[in-house]
Amino acid sequence: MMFGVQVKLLLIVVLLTVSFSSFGQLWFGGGYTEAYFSEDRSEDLNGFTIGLTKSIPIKNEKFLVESSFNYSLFMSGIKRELFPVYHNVLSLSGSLGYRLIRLKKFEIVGLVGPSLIWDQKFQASELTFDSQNSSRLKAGVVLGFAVNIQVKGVWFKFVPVSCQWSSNGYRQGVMALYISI
Amino acid sequence: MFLRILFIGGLVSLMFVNHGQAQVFFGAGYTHVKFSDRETDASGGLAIATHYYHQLEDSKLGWQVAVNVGMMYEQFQDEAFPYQSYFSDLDIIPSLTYSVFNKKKMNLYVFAGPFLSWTVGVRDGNMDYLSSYIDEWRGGIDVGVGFDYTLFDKLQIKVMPFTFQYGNNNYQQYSSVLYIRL
Repeated sequence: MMFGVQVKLLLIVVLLTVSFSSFGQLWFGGGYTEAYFSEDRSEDLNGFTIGLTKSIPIKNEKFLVESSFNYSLFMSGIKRELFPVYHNVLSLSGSLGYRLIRLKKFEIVGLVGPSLIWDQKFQASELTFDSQNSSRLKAGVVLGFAVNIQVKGVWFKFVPVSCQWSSNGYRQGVMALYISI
Repeated sequence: MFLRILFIGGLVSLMFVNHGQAQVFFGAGYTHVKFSDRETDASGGLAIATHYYHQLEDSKLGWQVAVNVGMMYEQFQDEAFPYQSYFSDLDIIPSLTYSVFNKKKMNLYVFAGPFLSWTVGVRDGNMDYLSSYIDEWRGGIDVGVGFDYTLFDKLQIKVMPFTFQYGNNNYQQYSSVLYIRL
């Protein structure tokens, strides 16, 4: 790994601090998410995510810092008939963005940055199998892009794909729609 | 089904709340839920909350909309049913607020309004009972107290030391949350 966990955590803290202490644009929204929780992809689950994002423009507004908080719940595991599994994931990320295209009412932004992932899991007991639970905190990397469109004075952010990678084969993809609040 | 439509409608309405000076807060705290009269039919955990607050100009009245997520990891088991359950609790709460004490840097207010709550999770099974998922909707009344304090121009905190919800089937939820203005 190029960056250690401590460096990633420090980066997140710095980016979040900059973001929280500045004026910027706030977004609220949600969408679809899918994740692999293990290396062998045996636990492939999908569900929904809701999130809050703050964007701070820097350096002639070509670059921006974007801090995001997302809560994801994986319904396909919960509603499984046999051996249901509950996963909820909280992720905090601080990304650096670059406006690839910038028009008056339309822009495309590429984003990359470190993230902090808290995954809570509960495997319910079934037949003679005991229940298991775990709580894991890990660092990751997030990469994605967003399309921002202004419609009748209101800005919308559509994220067609945003991917997050972490240790032990954890991968999460998100497709979401946000509104500026 | 009606409750689900109301919930989704509420979220869509929230998305269009963008008039006036936005005061958006984000915070975390503790929440405790009691699902029925039974003391052990309860759980507690982490509450993550997003909060849109708007005070009307030259008035003590205002309104707020909160979207809260509760992640329940505490277990209150009894001997008769020693099984675990893990679940999340998603709430949407539009409220009216009334400012009791409002000075330059401080604002103490009370609020009340309806809430809609969606509880979703997994419950243990055994040889006799299969494990099952929890998917329940509840509605009711939410009341509480909020306190805003401006530390610096760019840093404002909000404390909601006590929020209480009472819903159908004797559902009760208490929360204490600390927010920061975004």
